[in-house]
Formats: sequence, structure tokens, C-alpha cells
Amino acid sequence: MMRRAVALLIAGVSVAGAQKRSACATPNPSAAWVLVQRTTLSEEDGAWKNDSLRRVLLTAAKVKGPNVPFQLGWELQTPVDTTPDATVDYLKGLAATRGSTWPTRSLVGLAGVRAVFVLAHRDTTLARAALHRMMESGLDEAIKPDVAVLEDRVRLMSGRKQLYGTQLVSIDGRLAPAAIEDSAHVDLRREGANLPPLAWSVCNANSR
Amino acid sequence: MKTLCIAAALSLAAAPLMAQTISVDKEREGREPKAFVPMVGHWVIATDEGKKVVMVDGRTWKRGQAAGGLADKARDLYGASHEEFIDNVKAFAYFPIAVARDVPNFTDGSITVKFKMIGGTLDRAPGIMFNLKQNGDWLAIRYNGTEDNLVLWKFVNGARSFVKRGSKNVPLEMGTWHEIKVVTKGTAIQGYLDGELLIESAWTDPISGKVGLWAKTDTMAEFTDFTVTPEKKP
Repeated sequence: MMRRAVALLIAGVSVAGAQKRSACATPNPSAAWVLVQRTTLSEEDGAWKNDSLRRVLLTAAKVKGPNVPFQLGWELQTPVDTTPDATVDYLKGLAATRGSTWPTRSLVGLAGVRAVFVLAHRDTTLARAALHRMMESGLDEAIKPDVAVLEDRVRLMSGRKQLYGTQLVSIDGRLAPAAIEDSAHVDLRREGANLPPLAWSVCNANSR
Repeated sequence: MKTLCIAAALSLAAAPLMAQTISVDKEREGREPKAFVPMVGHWVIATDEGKKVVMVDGRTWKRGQAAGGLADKARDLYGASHEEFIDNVKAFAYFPIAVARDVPNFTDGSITVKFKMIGGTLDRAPGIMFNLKQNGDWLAIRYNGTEDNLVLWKFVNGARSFVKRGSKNVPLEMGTWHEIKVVTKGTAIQGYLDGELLIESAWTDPISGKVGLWAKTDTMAEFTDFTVTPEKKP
């Protein structure tokens, strides 16, 4: 219990302020982050240039389109799945080739970009490269909440603290964020990334 | 050889005039700063540990977002010849900038600012803008928290391009104060991070123009103690 309390305090979350499970089991439709994600995570069918690449990415990542699910702002710190995957290798090759065209929103649509995010979890080299490419591609071409989650994952892999508190670890059977850099501003950063407040995400994770 | 010449030129800059630190102490929290005129992006006065600071808030940043009242602000800074400035800023409003109102023209000397990175999903890049011309061209030395480097950039005729990267990468923690310093003499430019010289370069013409705060896209950062110290002319 003490370890969990310490972890939550590190993350800037007070135990007393934690929301009840019922309040965070599903997103509140009128929450600001839900409204923003609803707007930014929907697109017209066919609003992308390379449908064949998109289909390859979606199949490999088991992602459906055209719209993508909300980014709830948390994931478990799990080991990398090192099973060989041709699509992962293809993306790594793209990332290593200067001047190559990276699969952005205008090329493969939102679901295609989400698929890249999912595939990036299968390889540490790809995770780093994909993060760099996503940041570089800009506001209209990337999924901001996914960029935040991937950056946290990459930072922890590199031995640095996370910035958004999206990477959760189990402490005494409860999920809590791994150490956060500058935890005082974590919810400002999450708001900027269109993520839910940290307390909501931690509560949501523990309600499952 | 070029580096030696720059070093020799800058070593002459040892006789500063009175330093001018731009204060926002009397400005109102939550309002746009008056001492720094926002031309692009969302800039506000914030309070950090009891001290008034200038904050660029990239949470609401959108591509091509010029600050409100751009025409009036440009006219205030450049009088009748402000239209080219507006056209250039609107054409490539990718970098939030706020111009120091009371520094009419900076040539030789130094500019320092303390900054604290708070956030930014795609960019975390606070910096110093200088050599700002009436047509909207500028130079900037900025730190980038996503790349851990200090870089000199130029913005000429609506296009930004890289000039010189710092000699080494320096990771900085979010939520902590650091300092960028720009030193110029003639065409020579030096860039410092936390007192360490990382950039030595030269521009095509002697540095001359307005100065201010600089950021990139959705950067969230605080700035304080923006100080301009002109060099004493012999």
C-alpha cells in the first residue's frame, strides 16, 4: 500500500483524489479530451493516397478503420514481442532510408498511422525511428496522443523518466505510472497531447 | 581559421554598455505580454514560484496561426512599412515569435534569456530571435528538447533552414531553468547553453534588427530575465 501511495505521489496524483471506478470505466462523452479526440480521430473513407500500404499495415497490426479508438492515455510496460514480422522489417527499412516516404496520415490515413504506432511496440529500433518520424511529420500528419504514449515508452527504454505518465507498472496488484519527469506539469502536457488527465487514466486502467 | 576569426572578433566584445533586462513584473497574469509583442502563437503572462514570466502555450497551436491583431502590432513596430512583414509571417506562421517592444535595434553585444520547458508533443523548442528584419526575415538560436541540441536557424524569404548545430548534444530536464546566450559582433555569432559555448558561426551581413522570444509549433515553455547588453563602440 505504501509503495503504491509513493508511486502515485511521484506521478503527481493524490490517493485521496483518485476517482471512483465507476467514474472512469468509460470516457465521459462531454470531457474535453473526448471531444478533441472524437474530432481528430475520425476521417472520411478513402482520404489517403496509398491504400495498398494501408491495408498491409492494418492487417499486420490488427487495426480496423477508418476511425480509430480513443487513446486512453495508458499502457502497461510489457516486454517487446520479438516475433519476426515482415511489416515491422519493412518499416525499419523505411526509417533507415534517408528521404524515404514515411506512412503519414495523408498517405495511409489515421488507421494506418495508428497501425504504425501498434507495430512500433514490437521493435525497439522501430519505436525510436517511428517516434522521430511522427514528430517530424507535424500536427496534421501524426496522432498526437499516440506520439505522447510512444515517447514515454521510448524514454523508459532509454533509462529516462517518462513525460506523460502513460506507462503503467503493477505495484502490489495496482497499476501506477512509472517515474515521471517534471510531474508538476504532467497534466498540462497531457492536455497539449489531447490525452485524458493522469488521474482518470490511472483510474481507468485499474477499473479493468 | 574561420572559427579563430570569429573568436578574435568576439573577444573584442569585452566592454558592454548598460544591460537592459526586460521586465514583465507589472503585467497581468493570463494576459498577452506588453513588453514582448506576440506576432505568431499564443503568448501569455504566467506566474512561476511568485515571479511573473512569459509563457508560450502551444496547447492551442494550429498551423499558420498568427497572433491576434497582427496588423496593428506590425504597424506599431515598423510603421508604414509593415505590410511585407505581415505577408511573410502569415505565409509561414510556423514559429511562435514575440518581439521585444523596447529594443529598437540590436547590433553587437549579447542577449540572454532563461527558459523552462514545460511541454509540447511534437516540439519543445524555446529560443532567442535576433536580426529580425522589416520583411520578416530572422535568425534564431534555440534549444530543442526533443533533439537535445542547440542550433542556429535562419528564416529568409519565407523559408527556414539550418545554419549551424551545437558542438554537442546536451539533454535538459523538463521543468528546470536553463539559459541561452547569443553573442554577436559584426557578422560573427556565438551561441551558449548554460554558459557553455556550443555554436560559432558567421552571417552574411552584420547583425542588425529587432530581437525577441522564439518557439516552435506546440512548444510550451516559460521565459524570464531576457537581457540585452549592447557592446560599447570604440
